[in-house]
Amino acid sequence: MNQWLRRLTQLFALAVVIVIPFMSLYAAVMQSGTTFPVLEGNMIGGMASDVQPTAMPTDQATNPVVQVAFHAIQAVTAGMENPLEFLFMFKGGNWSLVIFGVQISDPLAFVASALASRHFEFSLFISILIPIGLAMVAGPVWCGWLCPINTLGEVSSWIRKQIQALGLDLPDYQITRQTKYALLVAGIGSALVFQITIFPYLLPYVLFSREMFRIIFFHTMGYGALILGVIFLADVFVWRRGFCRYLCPGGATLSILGSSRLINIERDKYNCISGCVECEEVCEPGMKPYLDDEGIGVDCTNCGKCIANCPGDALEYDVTKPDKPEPTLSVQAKAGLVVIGALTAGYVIVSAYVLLP
Amino acid sequence: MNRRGLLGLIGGIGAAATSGGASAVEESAKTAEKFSELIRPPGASEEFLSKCIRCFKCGEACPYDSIVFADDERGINYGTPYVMPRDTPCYLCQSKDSDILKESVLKGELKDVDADSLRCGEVCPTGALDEIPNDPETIEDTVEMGQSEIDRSRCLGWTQNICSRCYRVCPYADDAIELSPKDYDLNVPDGNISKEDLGEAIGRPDAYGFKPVVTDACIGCGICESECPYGNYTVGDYPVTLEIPDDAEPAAIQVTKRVKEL
Repeated sequence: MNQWLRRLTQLFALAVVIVIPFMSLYAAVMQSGTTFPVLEGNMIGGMASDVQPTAMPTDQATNPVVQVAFHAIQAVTAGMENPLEFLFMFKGGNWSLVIFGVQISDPLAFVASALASRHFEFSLFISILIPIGLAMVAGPVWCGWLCPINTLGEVSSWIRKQIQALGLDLPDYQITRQTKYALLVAGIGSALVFQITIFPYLLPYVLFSREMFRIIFFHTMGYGALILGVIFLADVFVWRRGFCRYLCPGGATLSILGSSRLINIERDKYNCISGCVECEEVCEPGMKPYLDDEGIGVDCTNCGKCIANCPGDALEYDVTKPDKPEPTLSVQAKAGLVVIGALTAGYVIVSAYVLLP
Repeated sequence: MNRRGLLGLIGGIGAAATSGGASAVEESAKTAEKFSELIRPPGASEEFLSKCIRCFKCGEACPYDSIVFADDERGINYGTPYVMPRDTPCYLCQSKDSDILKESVLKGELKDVDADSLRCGEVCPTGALDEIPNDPETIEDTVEMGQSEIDRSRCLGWTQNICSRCYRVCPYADDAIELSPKDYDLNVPDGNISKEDLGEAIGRPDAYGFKPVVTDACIGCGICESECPYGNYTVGDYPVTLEIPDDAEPAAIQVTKRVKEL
């Protein structure tokens, strides 16, 4: 049940990233009623002179995929008084999204932009409150329930398992989980010192939605597709879910935010079968729920796969604070945060001192 | 020195070093953005490059698909929006009943764009693009995408005293582009077009000539660059709407990034 729900949210997140560019393309074609130079011969065929001024967007698309998408959008918006207004309530992708008029942004987008430009954008700050609240209540559920890279990663895990079932031995290189915190510190530091926002170039879920946008709008792909491919192949052949476990600064941010989360996975030690590691086998972030202390760390995404696969029904969601010691951040992560905090505070203090008359 | 004093001293030095280095880098980032050859969408601020989070919402929102995104070869500009006026200029979110866009001479057929403010600035979540009300006068006052420059050695107006197309399509003609020079004689090649016909076509029968001059009021929308017939134009075709092929030579009038004095 839980896993079906999760599959639905994963599909929804994938659909959002793919449908929104189509909606925007539809709106653009609807408004201008002509072909665009960048699109000629690609997604929409023909020259401007071939197109009737009153033609609907569906008549202008020659590419079958675009035609299907446009017909679907037309069917949805047919009864509306002002379809453009409706279409305009959907914009963006995984990095910064407008859905039904509500703007939701990645916390890292705000942090990087604010630090790099030394400018506080209030609307951007408001838009990161939903993800922050979600992470503080339930941990990095973005990773487990929505992120397209996790969906891709579960496919890679499955393929990896099939290959291993054939008798091939695949390596699983493991590096320290602190790497992602180091990358987070490096990214924020570069925004602070060099004014360069590197996160949108490296975070694969951002690349994923940007590549979708590029394919649909411009019919090209950038280096992002290459990175996604490398991550996928490495996850299959080099390390299991290595990027998400060891490298993703986006997941690291959510882990920090969710370090004293409300919703946890709790183990009933009397039902837990000794010697069974079924939960570790299925765990995507690589937790060890069968262990007592620190078995489920800050990287747990509350996806519930371990609950679904536990043969003894020993695991379940728990909305109270656990008896065991709370999952805590490592010393290195804390040190990195202190460094960032000190640099930020120093910058704010000095710039306030300089700016004040 | 007691402990608190020492801590304060260290903190002060650290903060000063951070701030000093940061402000130097900040200046260089501003300068880099100023001298970047990319024509940013309307409303781009000086800190555009550091504010922009590369979310591509502006490209989705643009009703004319004028906004394209920089490729990986652009380095740190990758994924940032810009406008290529020769392909599609910024039509300033104007609809077909707009007062400032001259529909008859534009490449595309304009349609109803119902925008209260310029779309790209409206959707920008970071303030990298400011929201600019969709009002011709406000646009003229606030938008500074760049400034057109005329290559007088290639401009048909300056070399052959014909054309005036940039003047006729400019949303702010007479302010941004003037057909002003009065110190030469009208010299129409082959006698195909009379001075009267040309004057009639641009609605200025009393025009002295067709040598365009761009003023500081230019906002850099690039409509003139997209419409400039240089390279495809033959005198006999005047004033037929022109299709500009992809391999056309660069326009004789081109938008460049405006570099203001500090």
